[in-house]
Amino acid sequence: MMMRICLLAEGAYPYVTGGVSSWIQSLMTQMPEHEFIIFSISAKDYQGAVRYPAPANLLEVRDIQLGTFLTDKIIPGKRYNISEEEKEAFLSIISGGKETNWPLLFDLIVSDRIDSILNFLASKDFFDIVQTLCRERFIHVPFTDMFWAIRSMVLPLFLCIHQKMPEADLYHSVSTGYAGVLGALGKHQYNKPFLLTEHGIYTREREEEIIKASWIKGYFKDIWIDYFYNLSNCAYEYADEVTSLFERSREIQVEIGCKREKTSVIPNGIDVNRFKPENRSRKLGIHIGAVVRVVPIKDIKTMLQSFALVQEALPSAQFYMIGPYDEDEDYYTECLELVESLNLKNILFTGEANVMDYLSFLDVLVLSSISEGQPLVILEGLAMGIPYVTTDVGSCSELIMGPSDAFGQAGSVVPVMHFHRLAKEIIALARDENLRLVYGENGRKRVQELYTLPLMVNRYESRYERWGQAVWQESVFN
Amino acid sequence: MAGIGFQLKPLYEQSHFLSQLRAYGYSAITAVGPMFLTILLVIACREWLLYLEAPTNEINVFMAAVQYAFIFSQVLIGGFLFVISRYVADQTFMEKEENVLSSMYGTIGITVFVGFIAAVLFYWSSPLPFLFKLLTYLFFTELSIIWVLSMYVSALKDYKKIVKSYLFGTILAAFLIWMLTTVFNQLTAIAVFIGLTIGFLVIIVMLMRNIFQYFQLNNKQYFHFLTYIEKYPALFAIGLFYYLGLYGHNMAVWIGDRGIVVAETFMMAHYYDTPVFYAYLSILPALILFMVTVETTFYTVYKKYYGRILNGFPLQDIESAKQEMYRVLRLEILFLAQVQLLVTILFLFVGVRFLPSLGLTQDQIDIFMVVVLGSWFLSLMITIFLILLYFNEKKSAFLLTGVYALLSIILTSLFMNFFNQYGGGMFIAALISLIFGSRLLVSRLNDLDYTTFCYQPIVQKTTTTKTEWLLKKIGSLD
Repeated sequence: MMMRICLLAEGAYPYVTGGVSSWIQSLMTQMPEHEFIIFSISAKDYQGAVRYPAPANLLEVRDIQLGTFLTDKIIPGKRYNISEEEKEAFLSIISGGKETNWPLLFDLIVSDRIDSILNFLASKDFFDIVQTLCRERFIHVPFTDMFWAIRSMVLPLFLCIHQKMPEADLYHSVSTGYAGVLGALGKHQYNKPFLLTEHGIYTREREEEIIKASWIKGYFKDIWIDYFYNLSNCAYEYADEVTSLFERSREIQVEIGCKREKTSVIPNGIDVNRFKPENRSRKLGIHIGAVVRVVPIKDIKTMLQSFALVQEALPSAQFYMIGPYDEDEDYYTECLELVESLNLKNILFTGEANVMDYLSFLDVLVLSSISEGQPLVILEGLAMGIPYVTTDVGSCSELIMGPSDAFGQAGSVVPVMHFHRLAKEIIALARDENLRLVYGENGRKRVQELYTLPLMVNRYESRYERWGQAVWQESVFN
Repeated sequence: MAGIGFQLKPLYEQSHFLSQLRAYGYSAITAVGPMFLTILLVIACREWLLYLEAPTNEINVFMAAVQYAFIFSQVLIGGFLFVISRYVADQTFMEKEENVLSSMYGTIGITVFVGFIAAVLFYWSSPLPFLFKLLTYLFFTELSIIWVLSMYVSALKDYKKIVKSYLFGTILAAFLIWMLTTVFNQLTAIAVFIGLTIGFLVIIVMLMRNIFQYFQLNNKQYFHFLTYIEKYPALFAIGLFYYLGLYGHNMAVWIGDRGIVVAETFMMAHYYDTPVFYAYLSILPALILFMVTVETTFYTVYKKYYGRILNGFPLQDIESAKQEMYRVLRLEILFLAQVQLLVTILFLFVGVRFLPSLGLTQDQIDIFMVVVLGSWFLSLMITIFLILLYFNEKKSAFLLTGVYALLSIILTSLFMNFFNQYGGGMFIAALISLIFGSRLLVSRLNDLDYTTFCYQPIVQKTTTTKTEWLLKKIGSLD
């Protein structure tokens, strides 16, 4: 049965390369029998620069570029005849406590009554709502800051909801947050199934960001964090099924409010046929690489420090940083400065590159991220039979150590930011070719058995069919 | 946050609207001092000529020319007055004081230019001697410049020096007039104008010297302030209508039955104009009192209210400051009304007692009494108008001055034509405008929260005004 699937993603496909985008691309190419619409939410206005070729079954990429709305003309001081219940529903997304009446809120924002979100945020009704909130709940919070905080919080959410939702047979959000709420909206508006896949734990990621953010002051951090939990709960509440990439992430979903019976695990998969370890050719010396974007979350600096230690032990070692470095120019500059001060000699920042060229000769792969979901780069490295040294984040240890299968170790796992341990493990692998071969073989087998593209695609496809059927039956029998 | 977090900032954190709005008050009042000085000087001149038994036609032509110079110089700069006061407040705040001096040159340049064209057209077919035309034109130009300077001088806050300048110029003018009329026995309007022109020139020179000591840089962006007319067109209209309101009803009488033409040049109506000018003197105490009370009691609570909004106070503290501000405002307006009533009664007594000896007929004294009573309403209306400006209610202030200007002209014409009554039109117009203004003020204050918050733009946009574009085009702006 052909279905039209609406994929909802934040700030990714088709403009940003990375795990989620590749995942979306392979899902579409592997399910030619289904049609896809992509609803892509981003803050910036991406001019052109599409990074993925559109498959034939991709009907439409609908962009919501939030920044572009901000230049619209605003008419302040309007009245929208907001009912008590609607006001209540709005209040509850900020103040928590009571369950949010999402259906009412969706209907309000989608309706013709709200002519523009910016006008609404400049309306008397909006002010009244903030005033009520501060009178009843946030009595001691600085009012002006609260007013602006709430404007900032709901602006992207309401802008997203205010867009017309494309009609589809199934809505599939690739994260909670705004994309999750939009999935819920799709289900609400068209009464179609809603599937939620979390690659990481969105709420936790936001929480970490907010705690670090210098522009949010003290008490407001809690309000912001609660707000994002609330958005996630909306998605969990509405979703028919919630999948995660690995067990640990599923546990967190349950912990933060998703019903256990909705959850399941669908690991990522890669096209193993593309990876041919037999084509690998050893190069002279020892070659250590990392397939990463040069951004802070990958903790490149820790990696560089460990490389310095490796260089001390193995002066001939060569290092490769494979991936784009133009995303965070400042961070890249800092990294180059660190290279300088650590006196790292044989290191190459390749920029965007064909990874396969490097996988053909690298001896050891490294990942030092602070946070990860289930990195495709690990799967790819393992598929090429290259051992990995990674930090213990996301599903890295599941992939490397394989606690629930019999394939054995495929590398080593070290604590986050621990560059001594990282270096020690790299050195151990670099010095022992035999160990590398054993680990590489273990990893290759694990990926071939458990993390292949057909497996992943089948699992999603079965979900699509199951929920498509359920709705179909429901509509037939009603 | 995944690239989708907005950081909306309370814009008025960078703003300074208290000082801006305060400047409106100054600009409305600072012109008052020189205005009354001029009225008194002119009355003195007239009495002096009468005392010396100068020919009646010389006295008439002197009075007519002075009145025209006085009224039309104010109408000419009226529009610019509020615009430059805002501009100067902004530039001073942004520490771009080099723009201040250039805007002064720019305003003077434009007013002198427009004034010159107006004067040429006005005098084109007049039979008056060229020397008279030249002197009165110079006097008119000097007055225009003095009104502009008094705006800039208010920034100096060195009132001693300002008063000294006016005093010195006035004494010099008086001395010269005394010399010419008694020693040289020139009992002509030209002689008096020679004295006035030289005296006022000295005032200009002394004021300018004070201004130069304070603002020393001039970046030659003479017409940059014109962008403010485009940005705040209401301000220009407010100033224009403010002065049209003050003198419009006189002009209505000029073209009526009581109007006469002096020296085939000046249309006027002594019958009406003379009592009106005497009556207008009664507004002076109200305006001075307003200045004093606003700057002490009201400004304190006003600052407290906005201070609490800006400095992160919780809602209830902001509310209590607002209530306090309203309470003080009520008391102040009531107090002003009472004091002004006393002034009005005093004027009535003094007027009835002394005006006959200044040559006013019984009819004129009746007009005087009605207009004095009307001025009571007018002064309260001006108070309300200034308060509206303090709350940045430019539109309301514009409405109020516009309504008064139109009503006073229309009603004066109606009363004159249908009831042969003079002064009643102004009285009723002032009363209606006062009631209208009070209602406007109450409604604006009821909406104060909304206007303070909702009207803050959600995102700051810097737009290039058309004026800026034009100025750049003609190379008068870097």
